[in-house]
Amino acid sequence: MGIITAAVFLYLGILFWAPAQAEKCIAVGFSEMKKLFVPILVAIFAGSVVKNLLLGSRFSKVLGGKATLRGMVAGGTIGSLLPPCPYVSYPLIKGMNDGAVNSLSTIAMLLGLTSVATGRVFAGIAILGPQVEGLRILFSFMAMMIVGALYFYLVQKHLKISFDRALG
Amino acid sequence: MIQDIFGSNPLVHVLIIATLFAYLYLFIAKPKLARKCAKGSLKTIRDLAIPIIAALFIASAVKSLVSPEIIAGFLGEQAGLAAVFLGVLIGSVLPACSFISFPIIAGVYSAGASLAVVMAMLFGSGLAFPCRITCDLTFFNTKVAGVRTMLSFLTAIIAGLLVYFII
Repeated sequence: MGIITAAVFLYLGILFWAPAQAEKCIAVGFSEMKKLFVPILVAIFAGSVVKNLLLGSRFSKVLGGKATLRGMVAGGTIGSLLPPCPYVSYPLIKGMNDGAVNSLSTIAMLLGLTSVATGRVFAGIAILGPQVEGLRILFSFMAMMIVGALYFYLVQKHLKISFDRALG
Repeated sequence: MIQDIFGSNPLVHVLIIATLFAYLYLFIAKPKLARKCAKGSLKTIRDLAIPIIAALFIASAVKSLVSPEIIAGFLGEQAGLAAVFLGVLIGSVLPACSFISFPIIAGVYSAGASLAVVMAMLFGSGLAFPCRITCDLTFFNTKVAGVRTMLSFLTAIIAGLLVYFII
C-alpha cells in the first residue's frame, strides 16, 4: 500500500511542479510495463514452481533448515546467477523463501543478485569489455562472500539472532 | 516485435523457455501440482499487480527526472580512496538496468576516471535505485530492504577497496 501511495503522491508532485516532465515519466512507465510484462509474469509462474518443488528437494537441504556458512555460500551463488532484473528475480527468491529456505540463505540470494548479478555479463562485455566485466564479477563475488560470512558470524554468533526460519 | 514482448535479455528468454517446459512437464506428469502452481501464481499476480505497476512508475519517474550527465560530472576527475566511496554512492542511484547505467559508467571511464572509481560505480550500480527498494518492500518487508541495502553497500565498498589496493 505504501508503494501505491508513494507513486500517487510522486506523480501528483510531478504534475504540480514539473508538468512538462509528467508526460515523459508516464510514457517511460508504460514503456517499462510493456517491456517487463511478460518477463514478470513468467517469473511469478517460475517462482510458484520453485516454491512447490523446493520442499524435500536438494536445495532445501542446503538452503533450508539450520543456517550455515555453506548455505550462505550456496544462497549467494544461486542469487548471483539469477536474472539481474529485480522484477523477475524477486518472485523466484520469494518463492524459495516461502518454500522454507532459511533467512540467511534468502538474504545471501538477495545479496548475490544485487552485488554480483552475473546476468549483467552480456551488457558488461558489450559496453565495458571482458576485462572490466571479469574484474567486476570476481571482486564483487569475493566481497559478497566476505560480507555474508561477517553478517552470519556477527549477527548469529554475537547478537544471537537465529537465521534458521524463513523470512517473515 | 519479439524483443518488445519478451525483452532483449537472453537470460530472460532462457527463463521463459525453461518455465514453459517446466509447466508442460508438470501438466503431463503431475497435473495436480501444475494446477496448484498455476493457482498460486495467479494469486501472486492478483496481489502484486498494482504494487508492481506503481513500482515501475516510480522507477521511471526517477529515471526521467535525474540527468545522468550531472551524476557523471562529479566523478570525472576524482582520484584517491574517497573516490571509491563516492563511486559507490553515485553508482547506487544510477538505473539498475545495466544497459542504461553501463554506458554512463563507460563514459566516465573514457573521460579519465580511475579504474577503482569505475569499478566502484559498477559495484554500486543500482543498489539503491527505486526499483530495487520497491521490490524489497513489495516482495518482503522494510527490515529486509534495510538489511539488503546495507549489506549491498558494504559489499560494494569492500569490492571497491579490494580493486583499489590490489590492482
